[in-house]
Parts: sequence; C-alpha cells; structure tokens
Amino acid sequence: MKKIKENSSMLFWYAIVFTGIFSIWAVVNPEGLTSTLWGWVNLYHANFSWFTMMMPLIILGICAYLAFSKFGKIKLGKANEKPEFSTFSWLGMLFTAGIGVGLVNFGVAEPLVHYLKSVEGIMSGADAVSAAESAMKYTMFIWGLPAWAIYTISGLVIGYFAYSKQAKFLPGTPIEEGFSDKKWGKPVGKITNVVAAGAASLTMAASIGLGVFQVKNAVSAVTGWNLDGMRFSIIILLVLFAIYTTAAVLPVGKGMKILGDINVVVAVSLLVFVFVLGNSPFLMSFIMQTLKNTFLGVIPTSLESFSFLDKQWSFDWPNTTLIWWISWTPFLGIFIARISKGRTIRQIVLAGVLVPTLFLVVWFSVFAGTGFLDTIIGDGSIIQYIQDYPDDVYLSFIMVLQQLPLFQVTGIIFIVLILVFLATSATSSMISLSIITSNGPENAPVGRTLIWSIITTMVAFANVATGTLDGVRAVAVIIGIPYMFLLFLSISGMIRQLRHDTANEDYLNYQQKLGKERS
Amino acid sequence: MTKKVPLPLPDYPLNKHLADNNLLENIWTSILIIGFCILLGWFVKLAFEPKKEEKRGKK
Repeated sequence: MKKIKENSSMLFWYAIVFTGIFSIWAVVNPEGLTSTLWGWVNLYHANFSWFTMMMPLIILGICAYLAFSKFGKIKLGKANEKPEFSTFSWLGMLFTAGIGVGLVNFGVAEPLVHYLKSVEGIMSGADAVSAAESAMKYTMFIWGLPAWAIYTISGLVIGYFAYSKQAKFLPGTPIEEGFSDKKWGKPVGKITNVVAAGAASLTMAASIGLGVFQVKNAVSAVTGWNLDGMRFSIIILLVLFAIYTTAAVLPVGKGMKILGDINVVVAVSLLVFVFVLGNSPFLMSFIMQTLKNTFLGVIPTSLESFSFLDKQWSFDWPNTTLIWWISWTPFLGIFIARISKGRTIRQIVLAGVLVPTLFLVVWFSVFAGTGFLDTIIGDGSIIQYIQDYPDDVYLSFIMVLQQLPLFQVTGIIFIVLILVFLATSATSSMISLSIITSNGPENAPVGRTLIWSIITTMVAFANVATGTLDGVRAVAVIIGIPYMFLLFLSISGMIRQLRHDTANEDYLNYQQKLGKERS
Repeated sequence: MTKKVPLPLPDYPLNKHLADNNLLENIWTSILIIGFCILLGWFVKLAFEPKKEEKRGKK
C-alpha cells in the first residue's frame, strides 16, 4: 500500500515537473521554444513523412487482424461482464472525447483549405470539381479511418490489460505487462507514464487555450459584440473550467456521459437542420462520393508521399494532424479503455473505427458540401475568407450557417456546441490525468482530478494571457513523435500477451475462471 | 459581393530540396531511416516471439 502511494506521488510529481518546465519555457521564451520545436517537427517530417502517411494503414491492418482473428471474441473483463454504458452513450463519449471541438472548427474549413492548397487542389491547376473531390479525400484521410484506428487501438491496448489481466489503467501498462519477461519492460513502461501525463496536460492546455480564442471569436461573429481584451477571455476560461471540472469530479456515468449525450444530440440536430434546409439532393450525392473516397481512398492516400512536390502543405496538414492525434492518445487511450468494459475486441474495433468515421462522412459532406456549393456556383465568399484569413479559417463554419434561415438560433447553438465539445474533451483529459498520476485506479480520485483541472487551466491561462499558445502547441505535437514509438511498442506488447494467453489455455474458459476469482 | 479566388492559381511548386546533395547529410539520414526501420521490425519480432513467463499485475 505504502509502495503504491509512493509510486503514485512520484509519477504525479514527475508529471508536474514535466508540465512545469515546458509551460514556463513557453511563457519565458515563446519564440525560441516555438521555432526550436517546430524546427524539430519539420525535420522529422522531412525525413519520415512517408512513414507518418503510411502509419494509419499499418494501424488499420492491426485493427483488422485483431477484430477478425480469434482474438476478436475476447471480452474486456469477465466472460459474463455486461457493458457499463449503453452503446449510444459509449459511442457518444468515444466520439466527443476523440474529435471534440475540431468537428465544428474544421467542419467547413479543412476541406476548403485542401481545395485551395493541397497538391491536388486548385493551386496545382486542378479544375474546381476534381479539387473539391480530392479535398474531401484528404479531409477524410485525416479525420476518418486513420484517426479512429489510432484512438481505438490506444484504448484497446490499455483496456485489455486493465480489464482482462487486472492490471493498472496506465499508458505504460501494455509495455510493462506485455514485456514483463524483459528487463527493460518496467522502466520503459514508467517512462511512458511520465511522457503520457506530460503530453496529456500540455495537449489539453493548448486545446483549452485555443478554444478560448475560438469561443471569443465565435461569440463576436454571431452577436457582433466587440470582445477584445483579457476580461472576456478570463470569463470564457472560467465558464469552461466550471463545466469540465464539475463533469470530471462526478462519476463518469453522470458528468461525462451527460456531456457526451448533449453533444451528440445538439450536433445531430444542427446536421439535420443544414441537410434539410440546404440542397439535400446534392448533399446526398456528395455524401455517397465522400463515402467512396473515405473507404477506397485510404490505401492510395496512405501510400502517397508527394516525392517531387513541395511538401509544406503535406507537413502542415496530414502529417502534423496525424502526429497530433497520437499526442491525444495518452489520455484518450485511458478514457476509451475506462468506458469499454464488457465489450469484445471485435465490437470495440468495428464500432470504434467505423461508426465515428461514418458519422464524419455525413458531417463533413453536409457542412463542407454547402461550403463547396458557395465556392463553385455561389459568390465564393467562404473560399475568399479562407484565403484572406488563414489563421481564422474555423469561422467559415459560421458563414455556412449564415447562408441559411434562423441564424439567430443556429448561431447560439454553434456557440453552445463549441463550449460543450471543448468541455467534454477537457473532462476526459482531467479524468485520465488523475487516473495516470494516481497509479492507475479504475475510477479517478476526485482530489487529484481537481488538482489537474486547476493546473491545466493555469497553464492555459498563462498562455492565453501572454499570447504564447504556439509554444505549448508545439510541445504537444513534438511529444506525439516519441509517443508514436511507445504506442507501437504497446501494440506489440498486447499482441504478445494475447498470443501468450490464447496459446496457454482456452481463453473463454480463462475469462470465466477470472470472473469466478473476482466474484 | 467578394471577388472569386483566381482559378486556376499557379502550378504546384516542386520540392526545392530535391537538388540538395550533401554526401554527409545523405549518409546520416540513411542511417537514421535504416535505424527507424530496424526499430519497427524489432517491434514486430517482439510481438510474435513467445513470451517466457506469466506475470500478473495487481491493482
């Protein structure tokens, strides 16, 4: 007991020191930190962008292997374990924790940026129609199957050990347990925990800080109010802090579940509204076209390395975003594992990868499709805005809503959606940070959740106040690169353990035995 | 009414580093890339080699 407490407080203090060093560096020398770290990120991209693009294909292949092999039948937990959450709530939490506010911020902006700037966009001389189609292919490559395969596998590796092997809910557990026969297994697992805790707090601080600016700009765009000055940023930060802290200290079945359910209902309502009042026949055919590009385009896009062309767009969008998804896996993995008890590996892989991807096909097709109509046959105001204001492209979502009736209502729904999405991702992050730095219990201790909520908000505040968000964002992206190796090592550890378990005994019998031992 | 984005814009530029040809840098990056591939290959080997003993973690 004493040892568990010692381990727990050591990890907690390591994580605090890790977060503190980079946060102080970001505030004291923002330009130095930003240029150094983005320099490293670009150096990585220059040498390994071929791998970053191919990585999702490898992970999708591993997901397919796990789902359709004998391992697919293995349940996380006892053989007779029932899922803790309904499928609707499980998918809602998985989806909103994973995608968060990006769904709204990039729903219109991302496809239009690719339309304009990608290697197959109009900058390459492509015609408008093929540029629009390829823009959706790249958007869905970034947000679709690759993102969800990365998230799902990160949850699965932890969930398998936590529920089926009674191990701790820690990012380093798959390495520690999967390689328990290797001398390096334990130390590498512990390093993984520290890196994961630091990555989780800095990634979330960057997201919250960026979110404050986005909410402020959104409120300003919808209401026409002038919200310049720190006062409004502080108010927005406090509102967000109140929502995610309350949700994080409540049990997952209450706080996080309610936020996830609200998100799904509000997002689907807005989607239906735009579909019904927009050009539905076009949108329906655009959904089908995007569906084709999502599933048939994933392999060729993954193997695309743009050898002869200038790679800046590729570095800035597909490469950096795929690494950014990896930076989210330390806390998302813990959270996805935490909510997936009682589900089989096959269910988790199929539902976790396919359902969010299918929803995103519809979401991006409807919102970006409306944006493309304006671009190709309309007055072109949205694409003009994207070209003129590259740092505020996310406001293009509002421009789509403005073109439809009842903007006074949908504008407010838009602001609510941003706030709740941000709060949901932050909540899952606080819960995971608390679990990681408390030595991996199933339920996050309230006190530690509260501490992380305060620390992360303070880091976000320091960066908002000093305008140094780019530094923290750069740290969050750069951590994704070493973490990618740790994620692959974790996957290797899980496959090793699965092969070991299923080779030794009939696994369903083993699970039943485990159930009896526990009860 | 805003003006439309000019269509088409200039052709996509070529990768300007293609002409770079520093021998030492080439050797260094090749070592890095080969090391990277060996590391990933080792992960695959680890996944499929038999695990020696069973050790259960306790919560």
